[in-house]
Amino acid sequence: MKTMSILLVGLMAVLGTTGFNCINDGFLVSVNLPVSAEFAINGGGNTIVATQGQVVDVQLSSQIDQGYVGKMKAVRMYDIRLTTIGTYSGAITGTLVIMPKNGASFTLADINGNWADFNAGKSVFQNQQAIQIHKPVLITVQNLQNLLNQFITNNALVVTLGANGTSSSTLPQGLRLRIEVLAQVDVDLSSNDNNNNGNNNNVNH
Amino acid sequence: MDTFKRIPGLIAIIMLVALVLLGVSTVSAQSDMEKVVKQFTDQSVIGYIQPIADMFGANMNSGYFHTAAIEQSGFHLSFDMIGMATMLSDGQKTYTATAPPGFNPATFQTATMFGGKGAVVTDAATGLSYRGSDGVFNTQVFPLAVPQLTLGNLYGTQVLIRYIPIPKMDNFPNVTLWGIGARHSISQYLPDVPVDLAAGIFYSSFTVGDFINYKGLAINGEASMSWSILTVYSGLQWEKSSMDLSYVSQDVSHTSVSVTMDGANTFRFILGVGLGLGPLKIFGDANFGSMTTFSAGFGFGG
Repeated sequence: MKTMSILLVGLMAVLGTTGFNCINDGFLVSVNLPVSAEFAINGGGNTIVATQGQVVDVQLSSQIDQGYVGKMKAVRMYDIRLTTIGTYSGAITGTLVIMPKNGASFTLADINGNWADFNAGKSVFQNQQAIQIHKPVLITVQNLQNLLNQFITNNALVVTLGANGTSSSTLPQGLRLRIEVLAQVDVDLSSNDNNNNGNNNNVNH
Repeated sequence: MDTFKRIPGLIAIIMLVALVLLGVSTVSAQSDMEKVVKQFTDQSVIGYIQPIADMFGANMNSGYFHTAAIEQSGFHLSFDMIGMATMLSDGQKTYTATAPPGFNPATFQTATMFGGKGAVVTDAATGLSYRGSDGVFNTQVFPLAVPQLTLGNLYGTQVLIRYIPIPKMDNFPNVTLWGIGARHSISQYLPDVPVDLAAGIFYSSFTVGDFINYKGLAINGEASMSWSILTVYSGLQWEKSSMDLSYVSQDVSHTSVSVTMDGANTFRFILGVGLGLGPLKIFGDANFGSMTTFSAGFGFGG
């Protein structure tokens, strides 16, 4: 029985120290944080204005698994996309804007192209003419990073997405725009703290 | 004979130890693994988790035999406790990940689940960046422990059984490991050959709820020679393994992901040594193939 005990202890020591349970301290998982909004634009005129009814609030905490809220370490943006929904034969020119809810807006991207060209969605990487990160690019990226990073300490952060611009002719009724800011949030899944204080609603104004 | 009388109790203890070791290891590791894996799409998860498929497959196809000597007839019952460990190579710590569409460069090297910090790729034109996830496990080896029951002998044939059930606990799904195989004496047809020869076929399965579904198959040729209490054994083994992952991605798209990863090992050379101390056996072997695996353990019966 003594031999048996020694063998068991030895086996436990070997298996217990071989390391499958050696979890990296503070390992970060980069989780998708798609900040997206779809909204109607007013028909009958030739302007697109980011005002009441033509912007969408996005509660950032609703865009990721609730278990990650409170475990976030950093946020970074890696793409901006615009998709047009509906049929219109003209062109649009303008800007995509983002702002903290009830805060000052800043320009994300400049757009210039035929409405139909955006029907399949355009990324700032796909067509430098149709949609570009607003210049100077570094300032725009930094402003957006600063805004999104507020989410780390303010889990209830709400941002508002909208567009300003003009069309080449009168806009028909029923057109919609979808703006997507694709970001990642680094989540420390090895931590157990959780101070989730957000809710799960996107709010149309 | 005293030892034989104690075997049921000893087996219970060993089973308990195996369940605790495998259970704690599997469940806690599975928890971390599952949380991380669910962040990936089907296009990106394979590179990140492929080392697990490689090493788990190599482990599961290890430790099937410790001698090629099989009597043609007579009752045989033995119980082995086998630990396996596959070595992690440096190449398994990183993989080539795909950057978001339009990024220049289009791919980048970043950590697998066994790597260190995730790498950041920065698009040259825009300065936008994208980051790969960190590795989860900090280890050089990937271990596994299984109990194995061998029953024989009928016409020089033995049946092998592996089985570990771990019931569902709290948020963790049920885990089931099982395997079945048969070994057949070749020596009975070749009485003049001075070494013992046998052949075997083995099938194994491992499931973690609906998340992981592993299957493995191995066919081998075995040889051994014994001198007193010492046995030297060797073998050549063809094998295949695959691991299916099924989950719902935890990004807001909640897309269903289902991927299959094949284990890297398809062939191995086995060289081992065993000691027979009455009913107690101690054995260990090295397995050389695409993966390097070590297997060792002890058993009772005969």
